[in-house]
Amino acid sequence: MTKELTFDQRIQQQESPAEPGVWLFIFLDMTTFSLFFWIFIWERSNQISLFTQSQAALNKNLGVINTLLLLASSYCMVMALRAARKQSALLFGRFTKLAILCGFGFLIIKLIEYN
Amino acid sequence: MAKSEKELPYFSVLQALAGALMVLLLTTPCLFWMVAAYRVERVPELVQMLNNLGWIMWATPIAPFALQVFAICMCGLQDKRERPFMLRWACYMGLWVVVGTLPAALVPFYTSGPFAWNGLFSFWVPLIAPGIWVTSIITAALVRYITTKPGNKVACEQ
Repeated sequence: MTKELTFDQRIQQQESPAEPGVWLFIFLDMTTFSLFFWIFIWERSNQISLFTQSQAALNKNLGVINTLLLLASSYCMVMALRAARKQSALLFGRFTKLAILCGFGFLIIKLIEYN
Repeated sequence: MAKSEKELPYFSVLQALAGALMVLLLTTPCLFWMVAAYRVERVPELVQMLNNLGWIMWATPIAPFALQVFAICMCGLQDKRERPFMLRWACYMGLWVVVGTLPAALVPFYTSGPFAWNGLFSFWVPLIAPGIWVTSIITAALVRYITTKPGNKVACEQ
């Protein structure tokens, strides 16, 4: 009989750098997003003039801010994870809050764009 | 599920309630379609209205279903027993199903395109994603049962 392992020990015994389930999630998410892009390309090829007109109506500055916000929130989340590995609850809390704030900022800018 | 939760089994209760609600929300549209087919000699606009009513009611209230899958998966991820009731990769896959089915809520805003009632992201993905998920869970559970059941060991080593 093997000795019963705790949950954390069982997780640490895995060979992959993260849980295989996380990789599965990322793979499926990428599949869905590539499907989004393919559909976008297909719809665009059907009505190119409409798509270029609509593209001209978009605000570029807001788009840049949104991209930066998304990148910043990902960066904050990575930093939060690092803080968690170093057992620093204070830094973890701060970076998580920053990431959540960036997320809300993204939503607010999207609301402005759609109005 | 309830056995894996230490105090209040809220995930189990949540998934049971959401599942019950979902059955109701999925069977009612079928009745609307039946009404639409009951007297086909009716004015076409009325038949179309009943058809739309059925499809919008079928797809838009996806939230209870997403909530049910979310509850099952979160419960599976917090299950720290030696043999959890659900495999961990299946929980992560279920969270993808939650994200993938949510665009179905956009159906009332489009009459054509990928987000309409027969669109790719509001019909086909929300239909196929849970299908793949359920099929893989059942397959994995069967494989796990066959390979770990005492007495079956000889058969598996061959």
